[in-house]
Amino acid sequence: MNDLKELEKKSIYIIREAYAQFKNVVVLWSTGKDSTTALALCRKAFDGKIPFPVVHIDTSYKFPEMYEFRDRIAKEWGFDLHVVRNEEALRKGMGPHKGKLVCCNALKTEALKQYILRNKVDAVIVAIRRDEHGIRAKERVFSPRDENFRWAYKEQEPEMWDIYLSQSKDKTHVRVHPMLEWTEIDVWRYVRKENLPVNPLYFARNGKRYRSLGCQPCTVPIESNAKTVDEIIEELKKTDIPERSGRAQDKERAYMMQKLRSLGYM
Amino acid sequence: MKEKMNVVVIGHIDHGKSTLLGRLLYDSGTIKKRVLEEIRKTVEESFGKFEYAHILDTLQEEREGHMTIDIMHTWFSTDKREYTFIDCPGHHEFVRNMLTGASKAEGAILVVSVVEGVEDQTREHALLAKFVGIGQFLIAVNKMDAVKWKREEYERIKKEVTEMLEEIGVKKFVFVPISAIQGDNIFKKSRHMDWQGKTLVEVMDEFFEVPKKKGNEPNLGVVQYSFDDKIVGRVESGSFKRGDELLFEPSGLRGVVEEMSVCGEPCEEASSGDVVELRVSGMKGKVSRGEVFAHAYLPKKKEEIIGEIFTFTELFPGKGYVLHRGTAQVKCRISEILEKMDPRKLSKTKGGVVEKSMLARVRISMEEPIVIEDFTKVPSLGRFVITGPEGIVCAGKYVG
Ligand SMILES: Nc1nc2c(ncn2[C@@H]2O[C@H](COP(=O)(O)OP(=O)(O)OP(=O)(O)O)[C@@H](O)[C@H]2O)c(=O)[nH]1
Repeated sequence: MNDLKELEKKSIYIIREAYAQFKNVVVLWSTGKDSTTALALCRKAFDGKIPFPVVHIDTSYKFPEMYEFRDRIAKEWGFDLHVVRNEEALRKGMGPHKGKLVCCNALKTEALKQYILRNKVDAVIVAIRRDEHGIRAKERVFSPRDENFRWAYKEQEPEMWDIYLSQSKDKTHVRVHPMLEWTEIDVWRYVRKENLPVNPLYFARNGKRYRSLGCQPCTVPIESNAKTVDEIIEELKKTDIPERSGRAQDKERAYMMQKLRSLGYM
Repeated sequence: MKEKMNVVVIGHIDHGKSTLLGRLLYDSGTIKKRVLEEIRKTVEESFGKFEYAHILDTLQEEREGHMTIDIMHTWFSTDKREYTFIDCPGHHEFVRNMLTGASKAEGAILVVSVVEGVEDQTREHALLAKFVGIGQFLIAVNKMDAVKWKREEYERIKKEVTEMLEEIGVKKFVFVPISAIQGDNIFKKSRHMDWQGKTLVEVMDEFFEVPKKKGNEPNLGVVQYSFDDKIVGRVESGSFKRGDELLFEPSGLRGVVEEMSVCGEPCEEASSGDVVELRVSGMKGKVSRGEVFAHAYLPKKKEEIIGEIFTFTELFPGKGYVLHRGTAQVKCRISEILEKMDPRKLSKTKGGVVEKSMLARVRISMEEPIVIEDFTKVPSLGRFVITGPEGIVCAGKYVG
């Protein structure tokens, strides 16, 4: 269990570093608990007003609850929401039935790539955490991507102490990861402390709830009776189930997450 | 709330770092059964055989190539502390990754195989861990099973490592004989070595100390950015109160703190580590990113420094580089190489450039003055990296 105040300070420092060092920053928001926390941190970092766009990658396969939640929070918090879709792939009928890796890559990674190129984005704030996945545990705070969006995970640049460098030769953009040190329980404790809005899909209905939110066809709920944030925290203290076990990308095939991420997935 | 500590696991390739951590997570039940099953399945599906090291080595290339490539973070708690372990690659090509990991840690576990003893990266990792600021080393003498648990063998390696550590100037260290592969003296006491009383975990809790704030530190902070009369940054040491008079360097501007907030919440005082927004009155100019603010202390402003550096790529005297100290950036040149050392052999060498992967003392000339403090007094204002057009060239600290 981490000291939430310490985590908050470090994350805000990183978010402000991104803002100070880059021209075109965006923050990704899936409407899930982690990226909603990232938005809350951005709001704190800038006096309640996020000074850059909030990007939602819409695969069109998200849960209806996610769209409702997205539009409600966007209005309440009043930020500049950019919804991004790979329209061409959708028109050609892209979907999970074509293969999960192909679909994730086209509807998420490719959609983001198009947006980044179009808007000359040079920094993307992403709310990934090290404890989510063995591959994410290898990430740096400032993590550059080349023009093909690739993550050179075998030759990452050194990142010394807390000196975060924006300069990266032929790199197109930098992924900024302000929440690497947070754990799943930390996020929920922060949600409770700050009274952050929570997508209803996280709470149990008929003995099931979602622990991690993705696209509807590729996400399954877990058995749970946790109906409140407190109950979720209690459940997590005891559980034996990995957080992303309900997400098809992680399990489907060996090293799928590694492949996806090396191609530019979050 | 339990004490928290980051511990880096270092040592020569194949001496058993990942196996040690894998075994620790396994024996202590920290790794969830289902996660373990998933790893086992993944490894077996690609025709491998499960090893404890696979819990840490998550990349396909790492598992199939039987070696760690990049650092891995993992978590373990005792009754006393919550540890974050940073597992490092031992291969000499990945020293940069090891350094990235070590720079976030407060203690080190140095794994030395009792069969091979001190090798190149044993020395290099120990020296570099000390270089980034680590002062306490737990030496895990591993593979005791391979020498039939013989105490003489352990004592022999202990002597060899002690001499090496003394040569590089490490003062605080302790030894534990273990077998990572069999789990002896890691989480559970060994049945094979009755002459050793404690497990690695017990020794970790007793031996390591979490560095405390010293008190009486200078009041210093850095500027991330500013607009109008508002300054955004972080307190690096000491503390600041509303009403304090601030001196900004290198600009020399002065002002008084009218209002302050930490993480967006108004407050009267902010201390080391706090991210602050200050509204400052009476300023006769604009403060820039990278400036240092001080109260009741005169920051060290330098145009030339002596730095101790470790090179990631070759470094050429005379060539233009950029020095980054926290949020500050300034153009610089290396004006003189005073000393250089091969950290693998602990031998001094001579020559006109600093080759890749060398430790050196160099004189650095800046185009404009920069604030820099003693690394031992205010670490975050005493360390820097230098970049060239190709990226990061070296990491360093101010020594005089
Ligand atoms: N006999 C014996 N072999 C061991 C022990 N610990 C590790 N090994 C073996 O040593 C080899 C290397 O172990 P790793 O844990 O991968 O070594 P490492 O230090 O993490 O290597 P890098 O991360 O690549 O630097 C493997 O074949 C292990 O099975 C031990 O206690 N006894």
